[in-house]
Amino acid sequence: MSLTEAPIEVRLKIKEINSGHQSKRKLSSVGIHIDDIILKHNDNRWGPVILENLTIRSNKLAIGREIANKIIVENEQ
Amino acid sequence: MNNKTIVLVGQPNSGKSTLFNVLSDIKTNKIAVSGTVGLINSSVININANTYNVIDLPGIYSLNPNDKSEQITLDYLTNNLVDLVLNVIDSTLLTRGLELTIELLELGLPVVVVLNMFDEAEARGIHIDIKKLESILGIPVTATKAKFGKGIKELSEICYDYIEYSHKEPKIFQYTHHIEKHIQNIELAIKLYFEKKNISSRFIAIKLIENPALVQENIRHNVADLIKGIERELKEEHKLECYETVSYERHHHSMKISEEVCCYKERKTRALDEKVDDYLLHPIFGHFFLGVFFVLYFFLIFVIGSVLSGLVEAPLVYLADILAPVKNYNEFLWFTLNGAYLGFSGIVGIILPYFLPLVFLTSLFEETGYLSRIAFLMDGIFHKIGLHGKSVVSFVLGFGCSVPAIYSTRMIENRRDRAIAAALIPFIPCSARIAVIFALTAAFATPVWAVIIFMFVILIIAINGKILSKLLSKPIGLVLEIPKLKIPSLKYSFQKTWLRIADFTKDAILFLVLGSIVLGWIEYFEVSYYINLAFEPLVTYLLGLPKELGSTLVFGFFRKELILVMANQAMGVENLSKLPLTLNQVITFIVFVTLYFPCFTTFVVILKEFGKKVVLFSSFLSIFVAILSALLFKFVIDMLII
Repeated sequence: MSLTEAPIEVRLKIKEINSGHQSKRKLSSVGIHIDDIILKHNDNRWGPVILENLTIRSNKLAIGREIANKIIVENEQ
Repeated sequence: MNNKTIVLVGQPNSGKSTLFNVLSDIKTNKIAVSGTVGLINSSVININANTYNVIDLPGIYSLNPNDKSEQITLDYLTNNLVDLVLNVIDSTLLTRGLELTIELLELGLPVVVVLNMFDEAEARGIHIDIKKLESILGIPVTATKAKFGKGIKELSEICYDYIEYSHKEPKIFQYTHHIEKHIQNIELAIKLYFEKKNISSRFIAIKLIENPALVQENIRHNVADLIKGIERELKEEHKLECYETVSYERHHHSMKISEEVCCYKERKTRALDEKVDDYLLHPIFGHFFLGVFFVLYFFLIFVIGSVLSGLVEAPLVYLADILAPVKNYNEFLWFTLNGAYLGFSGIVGIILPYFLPLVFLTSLFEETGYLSRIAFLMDGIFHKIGLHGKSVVSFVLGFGCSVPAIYSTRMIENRRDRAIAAALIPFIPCSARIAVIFALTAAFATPVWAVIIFMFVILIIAINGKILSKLLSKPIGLVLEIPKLKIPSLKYSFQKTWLRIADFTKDAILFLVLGSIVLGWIEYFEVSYYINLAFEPLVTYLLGLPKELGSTLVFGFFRKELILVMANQAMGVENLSKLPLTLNQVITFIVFVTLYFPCFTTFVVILKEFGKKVVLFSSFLSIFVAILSALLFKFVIDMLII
């Protein structure tokens, strides 16, 4: 499922990042990588998605919906 | 004397600039960076009777820049002689910070790691073993609490010892064999270029794999075939782009180090700032707080501005009285001096009283971390006009004065968004234009016309924003870090305000005083007749207005509020209601003067901040939109009256 569809406050594992090169580079520089465990904090119908990377204990990150739609996650087993 | 140079490099919000201010005791200069148009902070510090240049480089997440400010940092590090890099890391975000540290070590420069906000990390249950981290990285590591000046003395001693006596050999992180072999092959191929350079060939070899566009054309060209082969091999092997493969390896290295040196204690309760954040980012409460915040923010600026403006009024009147007798003695001299006085009093009496509280409050709230929360809340709405939420602050400030609004676009990192914001801000009616709209509609029409004009202006901004964002390249979507909430430091905000005001007045005084002297000469030589003649095709033939209003447009360029005074003078009437204009002419005139050309000061500020291209584009765009809009109103009112 995409990050926008994912449930909130559940440990999610990033499976794929299908966005453009520039977005991938930006995500990587703020510490978002495949296999990282994240928590999604909001479930708004519009506006950015807020998440927190538990793997590196990051600050909150706001990710625009266009990019969030291209981040594929799954529930961490 | 040629001092040795210490540069501060760190990720955004790592407390790097606070550390710089503490180290330099705010004695800051702006210096130009070779190869860029940016200005960065520099200072000279004294340690054990030795002086060093300290340079605060813009925050950078990784040495693969994503925007202009990050590019400035990379350019500085690769093109200048650096004696020591102070790598500032937010201790609460050690893992991510170490990714940049690994890149800095690859660069081959002497590095000292500064674990800033060490106390906050401890409070959050993160304990970092500094000695262990030192032995893993092979370089000195020290802890600071920059905001409170703690750990600065120890840091200074480490800098001194490291620069003057011992250069430890930093640990070189080995990538896994399938990448490492390629790095070594490229290094051999490019070795010749690096005999006299201060950066390592290893860094360039890694960049040739993960981001070749950053490497000089001649080096890239010589190893083009080798790089293509490596790219093909790595892509086949990993099913990922090369930059992803390299970045993931650094990510794993830093996670491994972090696991070795950090010990986490799980907290039983959530911190207060996290609880507050739940409300500030809430879809309903968040917008409510944002509304309250803006009302309070502008109310405070208005109140403090009014008080300061009142305080400087008497001295300015006194100065005008001193100049008055010159008129009888030499009229030309008086027009020149009076022009200079009007420019000076414009800065001291009108701009500075409002600019001062604006800058101070902005410095305070910038430090709290609330700005990124506003950007998050407004992102959805601003997306509709092709911008990110970060632009909202500049737009709201534009209703007061376009000058601080343009300056505030510095907070927007992306140059594309900054340029669009700068092109749109002159359309927002500033306080002077709001006065023109209200005064003229009150004299000739009902307040409904003022509301219609305001709605029309908002529509114009939205349409122009949409068009500009379609024309310019699409930016990467929003990826915004929301830093932890912080209590701002009053002392630091005062110091920052002082620096910004000094920077502003230095340029503004020169331009405004010179501009006003020219205005005085126009008045003295009575060149209004020729100006009216030059503007007749636009004013009379196109807009259907009396030709005498032509000169008011020129005065309006210098100061928008002058339009009211000059319109009376040009048409030879004592007050606005006696102007020989029809309703159609008044509305056409208001629409034109609301939208045409930014004022002189705004023009200069856009020129300074963005260069010739943007200022010319913004000026032509506003004139074009003003003519079209005025003609539209003229046509519609004509139709309605018939």
